[in-house]
Amino acid sequence: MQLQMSPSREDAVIASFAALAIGIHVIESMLPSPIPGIKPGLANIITLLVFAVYGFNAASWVSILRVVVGSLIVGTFLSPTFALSFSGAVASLLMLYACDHFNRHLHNEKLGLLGIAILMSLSHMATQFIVVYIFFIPHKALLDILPIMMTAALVFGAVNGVIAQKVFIKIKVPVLSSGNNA
Amino acid sequence: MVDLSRADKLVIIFSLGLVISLYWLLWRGSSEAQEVEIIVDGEKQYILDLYTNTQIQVDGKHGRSMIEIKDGQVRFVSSPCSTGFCVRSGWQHQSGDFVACLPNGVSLHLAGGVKVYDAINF
Repeated sequence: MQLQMSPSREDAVIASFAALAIGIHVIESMLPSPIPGIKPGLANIITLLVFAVYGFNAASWVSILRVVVGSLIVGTFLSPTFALSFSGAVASLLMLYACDHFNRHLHNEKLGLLGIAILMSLSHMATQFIVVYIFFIPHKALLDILPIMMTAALVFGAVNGVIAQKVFIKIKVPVLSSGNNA
Repeated sequence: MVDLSRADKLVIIFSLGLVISLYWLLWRGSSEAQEVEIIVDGEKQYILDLYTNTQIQVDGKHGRSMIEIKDGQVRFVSSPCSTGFCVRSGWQHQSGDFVACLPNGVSLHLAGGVKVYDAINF
């Protein structure tokens, strides 16, 4: 018996964008960071663009594939680093879903990629912080670093959002594809 | 730079407010310690409440260290060391603070009442 799998066009799109995001993820993981836990999260630009062009489902596939495959390549799969990465990705995808929902139901005031990027970044960082606090370092002193972490999340979220929005204009897709994704 | 919708502007204002209020909430010296652990020669000898004013004498390797606890703070009053770093560290009150008189093997660890880790490595 032979197993037949015919990838759809959407599968191919998701796979190629996931590969791009994984590449950025791996390169970024090689860069040293001044403070543990703070990194630009440039791979999220890909998630944002895939969301803008192909919609939420494709974006969540790209994001989860990036976290799982990226950790396999870097060698952190199922380690605490992976737990943080994964929980952060899930949280920011939930936020993305909420933003998508918001955009579908309030047609006069849509969130742009910048606003979405900031919200995703903040929820990503907040969730990681909660996971660290509960499972790894349950010490009150950890709260001292929370404002710095959230500031970094805000700044990098905004930077990624601006980049995503600029690229999105460049690739000339007319509207946010909320509603007409596959 | 980029076109912002009204929703985007609201998000920016909201998140700036959130971050600023985090600084305000968490950086106002709220992590006051509740108790002090007195460690002699690597062994935890006493755990004392920081709000019970007292003076305590601890015998270390070279002699007697005098420690004072007053109104949620603790300090070395005197210690038989040549450098006097412990005494000059002065009053300590933040959870996680640590003062040590290394020559005498006496150190003070301020804690918030919960069992904590130094760090976790991964």
